[in-house]
Amino acid sequence: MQHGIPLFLEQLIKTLQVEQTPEPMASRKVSGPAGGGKPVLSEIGATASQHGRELLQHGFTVDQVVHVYGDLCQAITDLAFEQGAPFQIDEFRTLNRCLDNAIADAVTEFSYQHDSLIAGKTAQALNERLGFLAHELRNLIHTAKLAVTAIKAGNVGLAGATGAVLDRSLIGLGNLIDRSLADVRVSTGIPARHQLIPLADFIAEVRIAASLEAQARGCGFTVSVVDAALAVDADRDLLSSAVGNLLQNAFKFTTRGTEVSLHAYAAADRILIDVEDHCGGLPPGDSEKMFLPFTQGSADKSGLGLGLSICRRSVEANTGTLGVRDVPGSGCIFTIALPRHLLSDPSTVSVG
Amino acid sequence: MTRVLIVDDSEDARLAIAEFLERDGYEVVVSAEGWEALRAQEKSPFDVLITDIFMPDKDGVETIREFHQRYPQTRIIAMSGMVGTKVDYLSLSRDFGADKVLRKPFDVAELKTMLREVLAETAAAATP
Repeated sequence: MQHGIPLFLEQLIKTLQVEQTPEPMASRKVSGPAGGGKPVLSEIGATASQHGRELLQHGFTVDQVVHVYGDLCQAITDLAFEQGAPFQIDEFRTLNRCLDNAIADAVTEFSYQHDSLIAGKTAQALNERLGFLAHELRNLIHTAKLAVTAIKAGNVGLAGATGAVLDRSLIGLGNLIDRSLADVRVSTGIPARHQLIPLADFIAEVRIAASLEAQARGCGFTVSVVDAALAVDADRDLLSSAVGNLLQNAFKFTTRGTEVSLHAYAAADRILIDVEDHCGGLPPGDSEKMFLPFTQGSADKSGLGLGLSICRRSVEANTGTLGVRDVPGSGCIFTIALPRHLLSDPSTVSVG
Repeated sequence: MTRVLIVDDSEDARLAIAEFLERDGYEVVVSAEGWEALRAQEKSPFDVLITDIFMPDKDGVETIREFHQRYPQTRIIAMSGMVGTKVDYLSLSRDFGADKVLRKPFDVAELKTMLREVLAETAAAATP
């Protein structure tokens, strides 16, 4: 390192020499005043700041930066003892002043650079996420625009295949917005707004939206009857986003013409929400990898593979878990498990 | 008949574009990804490749590079909705051999004009 300990030792020696002259206060220009406070430009301050930058570049921690100077103090005092050259009180005071100022400037610069680095990385990650979001939005708008152009040209009707393309694009845009909002909420740590939700009501709501998507995708969709006494204590938006996301995946991957099923029921102290498709079974390998961001495990590679990662975090924000089971040769079942609750008056709830 | 190959991981997008071009008399083949596109080209070469950029597996830039190196006679139009990232993928596509680039969402009319332009350029280059 260009600005490390040897330079500090030179500046310490220079300080001690100046202190022997008729103008001892001139040593402050070399090593700064005692007592901290307002930063003052000094030779030691400038080189220690540079030293702090270099230590950061070499991967040191702030703890190590402080200990570099602490170790130096120890080494100097040990050497003085071994050489039989004990310090004068004034000399020891000068050593401490030089070390204090060097540590303060090195740590200040180290922290400033470290914070700048983190801020830069955060901004870069945010930009990338926004870029991916824009990409998905543009793709969906692009397809919708093509469909509208075809319909306006009068060659195709709204009820046909082009109308279905338009439907899928608009549903996709809605899903993307819901998913992004859930992502923002779980990523920024906005606390979940828990409320007791009748499970049957919740599933009935999900069913309405999902039926439209199933129709647009040309696949079957069944929902089993839900026990009217059951409830979940959850953030409605996050849970809707998670179940919606699992259903979108199921509609996307289930073999054309097959059925997707949604079951919500109680098992021991949990409420389980199963989404089952007929995708033919999971690809070989670790199914847990599916929940990592930017992971796609199927032949249909549209989208960016963020859905399941966001979905799991949304479920976890509701003190639940999300897992997947393979049904070889048939498909797979994603299961959300949440703490079980009961309604005091289930008669007010409509059954899904 | 002019043969056009469309590569896009979105089935809806590639089929919609194909429908427009077929109505204009082009012979169109669609593909969901780069490897499949290369296999289709090996079987029977295309006059124009229209490819998306950001695709899993073999991405569009890699596909363009390979088409440009192995089939320089095939004209290439790149399209992408990926913007705002550190890498300008459309610019990169030009560097790797795309003749024209289109930012999604685009009008079909834009694509048709571009297609006519690259075909006119090919015809002009072939004229002694």
